[in-house]
Amino acid sequence: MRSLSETGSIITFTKVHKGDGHLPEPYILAVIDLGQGRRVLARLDTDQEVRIGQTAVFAREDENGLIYSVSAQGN
Amino acid sequence: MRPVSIIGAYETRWGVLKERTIHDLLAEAGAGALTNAGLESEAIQFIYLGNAFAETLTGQAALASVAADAIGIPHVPGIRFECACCSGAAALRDAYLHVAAGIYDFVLVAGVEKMNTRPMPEILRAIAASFSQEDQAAGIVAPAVFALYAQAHMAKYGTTRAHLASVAAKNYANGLLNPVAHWRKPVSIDEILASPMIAEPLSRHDCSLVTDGAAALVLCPAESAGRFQTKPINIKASAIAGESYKIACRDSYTSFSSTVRAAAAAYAAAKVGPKDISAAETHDCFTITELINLEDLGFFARGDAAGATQAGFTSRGGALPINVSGGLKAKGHAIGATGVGQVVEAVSQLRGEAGVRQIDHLDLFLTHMLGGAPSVSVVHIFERGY
Repeated sequence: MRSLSETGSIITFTKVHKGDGHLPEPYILAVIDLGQGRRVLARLDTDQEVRIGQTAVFAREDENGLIYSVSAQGN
Repeated sequence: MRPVSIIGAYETRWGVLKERTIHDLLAEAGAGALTNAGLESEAIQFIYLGNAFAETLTGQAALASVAADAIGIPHVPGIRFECACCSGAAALRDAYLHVAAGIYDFVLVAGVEKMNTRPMPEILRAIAASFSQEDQAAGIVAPAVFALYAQAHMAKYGTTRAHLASVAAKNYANGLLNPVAHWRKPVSIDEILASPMIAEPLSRHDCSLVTDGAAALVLCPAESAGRFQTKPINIKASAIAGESYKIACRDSYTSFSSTVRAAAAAYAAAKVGPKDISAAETHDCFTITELINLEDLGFFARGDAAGATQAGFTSRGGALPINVSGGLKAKGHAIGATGVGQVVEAVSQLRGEAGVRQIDHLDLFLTHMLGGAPSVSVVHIFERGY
C-alpha cells in the first residue's frame, strides 16, 4: 500500500484561508491521483506555486491525515 | 400516482435574525402557508420538515414536532429530513411522493434553519459535519470543497475569477428586488474581486450567506386543489440522485454527477428537456456552483455557462433567468429552509405574484438543490395547474 501512496498527480487543489480553526491557516488541500483507481485528499507542504498535474510525493502523516510535498521538478 | 398541487406557499424574511427562535420562525411560515392555501390547520395530516443543523447550532431536535406545536396542531405527526443543504428539497420530495401515492391528502412541508448562533469557525465546523470525518480532519470546510471544483473548472474550461464575480453581481442585483432577501445592497464586480480570499480562488463574495429563516408549502391532490386555491401550482417532476460523500471519490471535479442524474430523471418524468425550462432557482452556495449547475442541468454546454452569465443570458431580463430571488448569494442560505424557499419563489413567479421581480413568459420553472460533498441532488419541475 505504501508504494501506491508515495507518488501521485495533483487533480485539483485549493489554498484555504478561512477554515474551522483546528489547523494553522492558510493551508493547501489537494486531491491526488495515485493511479490504479486510488485517490487521496491530503495537505500539501510546499512554498511553491501549485499547479494541476504536478507530481506530489508522500511526506508524512499526522493526527489530521496525510501530508504530501510537491516534487521540485514539477511534472 | 396522482397529480399533486401546491396550494399554499410562504417564507419569512431571511437574514441574521438574532431575536427569532426556530419555534416562532416555524409558527410564522406554517401559518403563512396555511393562510395562503385557505386551509384550516386541522386539515394537515403530516409534516415534512427540512433542517440540517439544529441540534448543533440551537440544541433543539425533533423539529417536525416543534413545527406541529408552533402552528397549533401538536398531535399531528411529522419527520425531520436531513441531507445537508438538500434537507428542505428532500422533505418536499417525500411529501410529494406520499400525496401522489394516496397516503395523505393534505400535508405541510417546512424548512427552517437558525445559523447565526455561534462564532463563524463553529458554524463552518457544523456545516462541515456533512463531509467525512477524515476529510474534516484534513481541513475540509464547505468553501474548500467548492474551491477544489473551481480550480479544476478553471483549468479545464478557462473559467476566470471575473466569470465567477459575474454570478455574484447578478444574484446581488436580483436580491435588490426581493423584499425578504438577506442582502439588499448592490456589489460591483471590482468589489467582489477585491474581497478577501476564503479558499482560493473563492473570495468572500463568492460565498453564499449564513442566514436564518423559514419557508413552508401546503400540498394536496391536484383534483382537490381548486377548492382552496384559484392558482394551484403542480409538481410536474421530482427527482433525487446521490454520489459519494468523500472528497477524494468524486466522479468528476468539474461536474456534480448527482445533478446530471437527477436532472435526467426529472426531464424524463416531465417529458421535457432543458430547453423547455423558462427559469430556475439553482443552488449557488458558491459562484462556481451556479456555473457548474447550469451545465449539469443541461442549460449550457460544458464550459459555456461562464460566458453566458457574463453576457447577461441568465440575468432577470435574459433568456433564462436564474436565481431571480437573489439565490443563496443574496436572498440567503438558511440551509434546511433553502430548498423550500426556492419553491416559494417558483410558486410566486408562476402565479404572477412576484411583484417588481416578476419574470414574463413563464411556462416551466425548475428548482435544484445540492447537499454535502455534494452527495445528493434534488430537482423539481413546476407548472401552472390552472
